[in-house]
Amino acid sequence: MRIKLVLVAVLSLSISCFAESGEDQSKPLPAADQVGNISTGNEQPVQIKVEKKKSKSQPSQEEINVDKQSLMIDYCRKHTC
Amino acid sequence: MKTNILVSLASIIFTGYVTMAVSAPPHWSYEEEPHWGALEDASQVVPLRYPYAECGIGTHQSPVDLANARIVKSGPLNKLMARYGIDTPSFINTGHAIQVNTSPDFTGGLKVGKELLPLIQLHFHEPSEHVFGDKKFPAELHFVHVSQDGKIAVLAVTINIGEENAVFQTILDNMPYGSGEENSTSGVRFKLSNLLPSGINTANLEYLTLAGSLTTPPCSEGVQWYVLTKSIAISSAQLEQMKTFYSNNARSVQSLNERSVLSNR
Ligand SMILES: [Zn+2]
Repeated sequence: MRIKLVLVAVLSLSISCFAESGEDQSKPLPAADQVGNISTGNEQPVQIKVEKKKSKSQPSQEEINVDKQSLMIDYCRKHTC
Repeated sequence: MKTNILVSLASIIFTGYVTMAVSAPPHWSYEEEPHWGALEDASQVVPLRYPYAECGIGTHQSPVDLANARIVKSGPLNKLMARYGIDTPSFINTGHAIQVNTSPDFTGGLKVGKELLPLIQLHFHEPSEHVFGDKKFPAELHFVHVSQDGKIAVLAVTINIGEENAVFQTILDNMPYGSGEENSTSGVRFKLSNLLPSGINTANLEYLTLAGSLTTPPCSEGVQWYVLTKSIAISSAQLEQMKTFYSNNARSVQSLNERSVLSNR
């Protein structure tokens, strides 16, 4: 459980940074299943942490998806993904 | 539980990479395939130090042996429609494969049920990555699509030796030889659906499908694979020409780990 909480904290930080930077997409790697995979299983802590961070920069799920899609497209155009 | 933690950890590594984008991912080669998961980015600390960890610890990796799979002729699956119209693509030598990128205004893609997944690129492997028992095809074509939520779906088409393939020749003729080079000024236009098997119903493709991963590092999972049941053909001379770019750029077969393969046939 403690490990999960650590993972959740790292994820929250990542999502927060991702939402706030949104500019340096020069060297992305695929993030196809990050949020999906991590939010499965014991979901509550993830949701709570993500909501807390979201209130800072307020990206909607739609905005996050658009960013994820453009990151993946950018990555797959440059690499054999 | 342990597996879940490992997979979560791997996901976080990639999230971190996307988020920070502070260093180039480590170089990899097919010769290093058994060790992809252990390749290090020395500029990072654990867990970001092992950006390709999922190649080693993932449980839903691709490619697989489809003859070895439990193929479930399930109830109604999503109808699969290939809408690969005319485009003026660019030709890119990625350093690991020859690849064709669709133009930014290309509107075609793969319709899975009601959702249209834009076609981003297609590329080739030699020999095939997916195998059917002892049968390995001379090559394999991957059409790569990215959904609105950033997930990847790949339509795989196995390639046999036969008649010369005109569209494939166009691709070979416009492909730059230098690793990392891109030819975006060819002006060549062609119908991408001409790379699909002839005589099939592109509005209702016959396929096998399973959950898998990228077959190249970072081997990210969450990729949905659709493998067509019919092959396309290229000539033996074309295969040889393709091998002058890349040869043996195919990942070895990965364990199915209880995954089922669904068929709509
Ligand atoms: Zn591929």
